[in-house]
Amino acid sequence: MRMQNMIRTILMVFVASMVSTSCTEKINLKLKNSTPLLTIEGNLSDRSGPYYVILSKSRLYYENNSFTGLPSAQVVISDDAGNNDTLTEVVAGLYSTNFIQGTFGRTYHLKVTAEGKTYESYCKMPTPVDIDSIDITTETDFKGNVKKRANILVRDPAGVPNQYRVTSLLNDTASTGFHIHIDRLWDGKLRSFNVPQSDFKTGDTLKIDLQSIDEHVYTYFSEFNQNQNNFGAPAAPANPDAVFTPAALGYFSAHSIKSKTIVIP
Amino acid sequence: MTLSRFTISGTIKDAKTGEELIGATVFLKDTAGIGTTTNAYGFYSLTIPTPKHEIAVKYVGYDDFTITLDSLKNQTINVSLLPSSKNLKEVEIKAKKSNENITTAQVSAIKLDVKQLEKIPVLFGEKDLLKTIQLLPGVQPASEGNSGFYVRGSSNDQNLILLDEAPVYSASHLLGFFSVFNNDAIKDAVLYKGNMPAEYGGRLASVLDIKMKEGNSKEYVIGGGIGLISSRLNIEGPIVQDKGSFIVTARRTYADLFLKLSKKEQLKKSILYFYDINAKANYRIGKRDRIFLSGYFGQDKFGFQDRFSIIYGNATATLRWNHIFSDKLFSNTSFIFNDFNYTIGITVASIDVKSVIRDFSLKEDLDYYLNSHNKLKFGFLSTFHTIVPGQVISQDTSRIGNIFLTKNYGWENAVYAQHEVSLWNKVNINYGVRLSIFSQVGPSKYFKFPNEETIDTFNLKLGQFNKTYFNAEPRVSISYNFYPNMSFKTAYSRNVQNLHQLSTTTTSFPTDRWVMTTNNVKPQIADQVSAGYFVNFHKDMFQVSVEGYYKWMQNQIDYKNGATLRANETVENQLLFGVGRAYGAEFFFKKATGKFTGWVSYTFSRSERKFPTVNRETWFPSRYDRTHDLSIVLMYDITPRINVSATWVYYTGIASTFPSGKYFLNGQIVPYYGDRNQDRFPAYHRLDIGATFVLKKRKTWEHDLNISVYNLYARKNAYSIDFKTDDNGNTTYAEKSYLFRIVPSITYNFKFSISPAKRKAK
Repeated sequence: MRMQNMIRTILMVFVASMVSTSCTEKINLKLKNSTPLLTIEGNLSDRSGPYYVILSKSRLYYENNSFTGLPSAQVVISDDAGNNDTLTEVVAGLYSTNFIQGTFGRTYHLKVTAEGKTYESYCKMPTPVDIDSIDITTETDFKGNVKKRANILVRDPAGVPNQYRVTSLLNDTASTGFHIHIDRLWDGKLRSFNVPQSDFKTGDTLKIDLQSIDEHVYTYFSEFNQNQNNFGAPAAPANPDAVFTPAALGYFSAHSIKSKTIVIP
Repeated sequence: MTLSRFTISGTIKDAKTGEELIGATVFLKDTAGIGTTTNAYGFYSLTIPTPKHEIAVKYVGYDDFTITLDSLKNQTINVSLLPSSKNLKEVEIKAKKSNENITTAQVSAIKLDVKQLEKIPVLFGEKDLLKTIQLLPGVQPASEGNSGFYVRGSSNDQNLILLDEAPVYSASHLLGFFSVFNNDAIKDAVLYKGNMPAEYGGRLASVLDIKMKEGNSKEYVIGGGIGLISSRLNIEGPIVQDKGSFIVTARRTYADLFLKLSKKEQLKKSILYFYDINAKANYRIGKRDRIFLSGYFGQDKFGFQDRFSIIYGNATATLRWNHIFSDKLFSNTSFIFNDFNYTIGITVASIDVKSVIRDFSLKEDLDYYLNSHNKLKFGFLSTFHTIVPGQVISQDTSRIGNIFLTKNYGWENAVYAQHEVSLWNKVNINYGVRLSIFSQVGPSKYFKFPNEETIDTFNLKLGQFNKTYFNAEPRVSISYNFYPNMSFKTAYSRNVQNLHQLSTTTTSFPTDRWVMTTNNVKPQIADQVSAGYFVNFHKDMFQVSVEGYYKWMQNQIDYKNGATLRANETVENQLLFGVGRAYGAEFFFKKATGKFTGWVSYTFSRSERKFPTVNRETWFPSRYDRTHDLSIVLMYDITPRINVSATWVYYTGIASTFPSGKYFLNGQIVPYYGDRNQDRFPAYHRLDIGATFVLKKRKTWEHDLNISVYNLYARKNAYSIDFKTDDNGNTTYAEKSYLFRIVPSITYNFKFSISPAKRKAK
């Protein structure tokens, strides 16, 4: 459990015990305006393609959320086995691979040329790690509601650094956020990871993906997460360090996946 | 035999309680400029160059006393002063000489009136020294309702807080809402805002020197209070009358009892409380020796269901020996122990994280009263530090392994000498130097980072030293009294800090990691110049001061983006080192006496930092930067039995980093942050009111009722600001969280005394 979450819990319990008046309120805050920046989101896995790269531009904070894709860019994914795939624009901002197949152990190169500039990133696809088993538990949350949660058990390979990302698909709904783990403190152990989604009902179909992700991608997600929870969050939130040269927002992840599916009992 | 030049010395005490009075004046009647003040143990020494018989002793709130000497020779004279009869009904003992602010060379220092702070309204009615000092110029609260404080644009860990000479590493309970100092146990407190005398050292920004009460040596007194969140009980009395006394104070909160009443099952199963105990005893062995033993023990316990728990606390112990070598030489020797530790239990992961920071110190201070114009003080401090960083202890090593990070040991030594001299009755100079020496010592490890990717590990065997740092810390302060009620003061000092706290959150947390100076982490150094103008009017009833300061800081610490500070052996390569500067002007107006008392304090200040990779190495406002800070404190005695008070505070919102845009990633709207600390929280302001009703006041017992209201006009001051997307996903907005709206509280206090025998004051 992260320190910030513990601090939040202690504050909540303390304030609840004393005054019960802690609240939130929408405020008008004057913010600075940044120039629009390119955002690149590229994912490639050892599953069969096509794989997608999404391009968009950042907006001012108080503008509406109608992000539109960036059209007419040249997007190329290549690997160290000599494959070179120029992506096809499916709709504005969404680019699809044509033939390249992700294979673990290979290093992938993403090259995006947009608005006169070329952005590049490299990523090595790690060896996949199996999900040992799925464990369904019942938990009671802070508000007293009883919820069904799931954990997966993973036997971490010893002697090598491993980084994981867990995603899930509950019926037709995909999980959000970067649920990541690193074996720095438990190399070679049997570990239990929370499944991002919860509150299952009997008969639900739950599919869990365990991604093995590159170290640099892990670092990006980790820095990204540090800034997502502002309550007792870093004193100075900052954007994650760019994985692209020259700097662009977003990431390029070449990961391997192992899955397991369960019908909630 | 009659000497033409002789010395009188002794102790000045309160006749009722037997407590020594600190800073009482002893001076020759009818001869200007021959006088002295009592030291921290109530001891004075005065050399009289002319054949005079009449000596006056003065202390505000007490009747003046005149000593008539029988013979002109070296002699010991102990005096007990009676609290002023005119104030006897509503005794307000000012722990301060009425015009001390003018006459001493000391600049940027505040002596706190411990009695007065009982009248100032505070959150939950818990009287709190650390919250009261935040109402003074140059001192700012770390956050809403927090006992953490920033002095002159410096961080919380740059304050040295001493409780009977023992450093207190974590001075707050319950995430900072309460200080660890029980007001019932405190006798005297002085805050030095950077320009401290050479006898203090180890932190950059300030020293808060808190002295515990000795205990009543005349009669037994039992006191206590019942408040909204805690109850207090204290007992004091003579061990052997007039020879020794003791005091024990204890306090425990019961917020967790309210949790038991909660309808929510999860709250019922939670634990949340703290307690603390202060104890002190002293005994006089003969005329020249006195022994003091004092200690503090406090703990916070928090448990949320069976998910996780946090237990943390401080323990300190001080054994002191006062010895009077001669009527001119006073010595104090102290053995000091302090320990701060925490245990975080994470049940779901079956691990405990334990950390300890522990010091053993030997300290010697000598006061030499050369003559009535010259006083020397010198001594040394030797401290052995142990830092055990968060060790991960696993209950199930098949799931997670134990992680034993290298323990660090440090040996810190300091010697100092200072000279206080007064010239022509107008100029007071206090100058001195402190030499501090710090080395990391074995058995331990140290690291070198020749480049980003490489870590070279070196073993340090028992008795081996890593790099040793020598720092000379010169200190000087000068005051010039134009008139008896007016002075100009200036000071320069260099301070060095060898223990550093790494805080990653906006509010520092007790579990924030401490690191020591090593080959990679250099000692933090601050140089500060201050100058001020001080005037008292109307027989010291009104006090006005203006002070300015400029501070340069070297080897300041920040951390890299995405730094891993926990369970990390090589935390040092996660850090950034830079420089800081802070400057400001402090205005203070106080009405010290009368039915109506109070003060207005205004500070204009800036505090900036510069780090290699932050904001392209340009100066940026630090978290401790508050441009405007205003406090108004008003107290009024309606009758001797009823007094009311009000405080209003206003300060510029803290510097923070807000989004300057947003982008779309992984199906989420993500804030895009601009440069560090270029934005501000909304300004903070709040009004508190309080009233104390003395229900009954007799010689042997008294009780009163204190009522206060925190945040009277229920301002929703932002504690944190989050950036969120609305439910339908169309827009993003800023949302503040606030902790408290209007918080009323009530406290009942009582005190009764049992007198073994009636005695008259000398």
